Amino acid sequence: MHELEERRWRFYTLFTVIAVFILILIFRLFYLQVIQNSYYSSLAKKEHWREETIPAQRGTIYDTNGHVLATSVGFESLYAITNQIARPEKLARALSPVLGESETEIAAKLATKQNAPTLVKAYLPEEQADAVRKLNLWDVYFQPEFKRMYPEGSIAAQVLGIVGLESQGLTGIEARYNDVLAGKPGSLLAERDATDDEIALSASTYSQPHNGGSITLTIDRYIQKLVEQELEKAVGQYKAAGGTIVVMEPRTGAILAMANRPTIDFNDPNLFAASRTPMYKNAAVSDAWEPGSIFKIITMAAGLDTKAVTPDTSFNNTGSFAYGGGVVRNVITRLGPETMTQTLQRSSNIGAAFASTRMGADAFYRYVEAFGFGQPTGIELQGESPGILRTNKTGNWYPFDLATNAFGQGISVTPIQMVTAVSAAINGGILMKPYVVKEVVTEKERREYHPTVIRQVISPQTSKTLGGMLVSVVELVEGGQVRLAKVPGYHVGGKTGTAEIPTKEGYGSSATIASFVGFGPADDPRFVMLVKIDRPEASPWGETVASPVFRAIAEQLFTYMKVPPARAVTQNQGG
Amino acid sequence: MGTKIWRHFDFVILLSALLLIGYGMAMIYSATYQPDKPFLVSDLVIRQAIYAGVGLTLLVAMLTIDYRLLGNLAPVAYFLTIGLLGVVLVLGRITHGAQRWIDLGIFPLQPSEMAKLLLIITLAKYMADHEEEMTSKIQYVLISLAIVGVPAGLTFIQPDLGTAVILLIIWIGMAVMVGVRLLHWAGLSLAGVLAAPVLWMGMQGYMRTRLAVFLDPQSDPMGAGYNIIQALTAVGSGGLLGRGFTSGTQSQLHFLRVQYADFIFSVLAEELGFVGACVLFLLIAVLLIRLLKAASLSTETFGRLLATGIVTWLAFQTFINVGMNIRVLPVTGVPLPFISYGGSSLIMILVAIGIIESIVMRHKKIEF
Repeated sequence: MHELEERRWRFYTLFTVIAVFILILIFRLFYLQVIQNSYYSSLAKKEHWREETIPAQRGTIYDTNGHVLATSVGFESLYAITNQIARPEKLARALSPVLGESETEIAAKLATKQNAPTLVKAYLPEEQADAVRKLNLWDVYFQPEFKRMYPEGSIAAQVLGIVGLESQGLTGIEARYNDVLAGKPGSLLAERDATDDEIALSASTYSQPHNGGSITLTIDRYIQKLVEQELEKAVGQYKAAGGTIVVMEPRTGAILAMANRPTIDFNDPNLFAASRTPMYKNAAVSDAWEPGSIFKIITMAAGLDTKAVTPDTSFNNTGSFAYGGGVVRNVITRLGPETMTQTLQRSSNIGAAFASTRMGADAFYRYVEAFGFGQPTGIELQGESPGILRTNKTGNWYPFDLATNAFGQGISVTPIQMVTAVSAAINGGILMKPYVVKEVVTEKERREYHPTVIRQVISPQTSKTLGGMLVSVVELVEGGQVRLAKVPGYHVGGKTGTAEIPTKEGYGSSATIASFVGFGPADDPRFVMLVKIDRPEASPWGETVASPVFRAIAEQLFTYMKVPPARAVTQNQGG
Repeated sequence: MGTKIWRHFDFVILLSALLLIGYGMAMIYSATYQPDKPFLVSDLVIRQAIYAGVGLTLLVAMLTIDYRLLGNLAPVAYFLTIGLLGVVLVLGRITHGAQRWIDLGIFPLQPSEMAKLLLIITLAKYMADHEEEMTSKIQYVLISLAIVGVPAGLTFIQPDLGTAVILLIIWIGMAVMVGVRLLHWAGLSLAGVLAAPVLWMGMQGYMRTRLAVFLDPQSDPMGAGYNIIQALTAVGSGGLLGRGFTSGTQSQLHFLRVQYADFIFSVLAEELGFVGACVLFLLIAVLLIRLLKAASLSTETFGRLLATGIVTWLAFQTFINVGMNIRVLPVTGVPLPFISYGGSSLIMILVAIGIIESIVMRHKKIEF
């Protein structure tokens, strides 16, 4: 029986070995499933619960007539978590024909290994996104994203402003009204499977995105386009460094158009490059310059309203005017008696200095400040400059400044200040707060913005008188020469300016800023327009550079605004 | 065949086998479950049911045959094994990086599954015929080792490390049972240690990678280590009672790959928890104990060795499969007996059980 014993022993051995192995498995399982359970549960949870942000649709910006200037359109962008991709070359090969990019291009995007999402391609057209989905890839996923679209192109680009990543307005209206436009993104906490698809029937926590509100501007798409075109043309034609045109409705202070050169192009692939950032600013509100002769309008308004002068007040022009330790001279010397009307018509510095010194510093600066110079207008645009105004009440002021300020030297103003002030000068004397946003509509409310009166600066009578004088400036015919701002068939008023650009050495340099500020029609002005051309090389003069631009735009504005030609003028032309 | 022998038919073996098959089909159903089509029974479940039917028919067929007849078929069986493994190397289609299948049209035959049983029969026959010599002369031990060595080598080249290892373990189990001397064991162990570097050199690249990720799955979390991490996460998150049938997120959301085959244990452990896994072990343990008892009862060396080989096979294949699911062993492509989807495996297991039942039914002959 020894053999039987041994045989039994062998069976026990086999049984014991098997039992030990099964016990090993049970102990290991107990360790994994009971002791380590919470660790692995959280691992599993992390793996298939994913929080996803649902972007809110950024609001639309409309022009005054409801035409879309900027809007957001939903697209799908393709992303990958690069350090989870098993075989990037294979993925690149699969995506290459569908995305229409070379394998090397795609592989380069996947080259940086990181846990954060890497953009493979932004804003895929629907068919392309569907084609990618059909590939059934594990390593890429889609993220709905909105792209800012500009149906009218890059018009009023600096007014609208730039939108950066994640629906963040960076400049212009987009920045100023970011709270309204951005909306609030929602979120989705959803179970995902290994291919990162959402599971159809599983529980998920969803918070709805709140889409951004919309904004309606006072900007008129047609006028804006017209202004952009003419400005572009003028800058090219006169070989200028840049320029600004602002068109305002004088009764309300509403901005109808506002354009600058240089400007930004929303489709510029290098829009976010450092070389472009200087163009982000809206020069119409941020850049102050010495306005030169157009400022004589303000001086004359003050002089008339204080009754220091009348249109017919005459003085003897001796070719120079000494005041406060300085001497004022004219560009073109014409000796003899000169009325205030002639001062404007001839753009006489001496006449302007005569008027300002006659009313005195207290009165002159009271009016200059009342017209809004030296302080921001408060328009809803980013980066507004207050300009530079020194008065007899501030430091660093000399009595001679009273004489030079009268013709726009030694004072810095912004285009928006100038347009606003001239509007007040010819609209009956009321300074309106300039504004560019007409209406804001959010989920909660609808806010309309109405014209805001700041103050009565000059009397309606003064305003009317001044308006007449400015019309006479444009309509003056000297030696058969018709002024270039004259619009056939209409009465318009205005004033040119040729500002020398002050340098450290004084006004010696030949560079100028040519400008024209005007309005039309004369009896009931519908627009005030400032044309400012910076450093024109072809000709330095406001009359030859800025006036034709004003005329070209004004002519088309009359047609667009359906302003009938003035009766007197048509009769004159007819007779 | 008289009615008398049916008295000895072990119903516990059959019942536990049937329960295990049912358990397996339930898990395949869950592993292929689609939440939007809850009543759709997948193709794989139906196929597995057909394989079970074929297997059970063959099981019954084995009962009618005196197992001793199988011994006479041993040399044929052996060359059949070698031949099939050779064919698979040449013709076998490439699946999952290894050539393991022969496509028979109706179903892909996995010869390595057949090889296990055929080798057990061959070895049992050889060892039974040379029982005396096996316990005394080393050359007979070496010849028996060579018998297993050739098919083990062929499966190793396939490459199918898992099956090769199981074949060797089967040989060890049977050699222990026949009574190979301790001195011979010592010598063979020494030789094995010396041969280890040669084996390492002969390993395919993927085998080394699997060994590397076994030691540190995080070394390649999205590649070779992926399924290990996913399997551990699935098993670990299952907890004591599991996450519910068809509700395991790791398995259902396809984080786990080939979850209906080699990694079905992870599905089971995730969805039915520690308790569900213990139920599986209990069923397998009951089955193995009854099979072992059957082996011990056989008065004939051939029957005893045959049963021992089958028990060793099932026990260690279970251990190797579960072990790779819970990172006790490196990943080798070995199915979990009864549970994993796969026709060849299930049918051969049922044939093996039929053989053991045949042994049980005939062991009392001496008693009259």
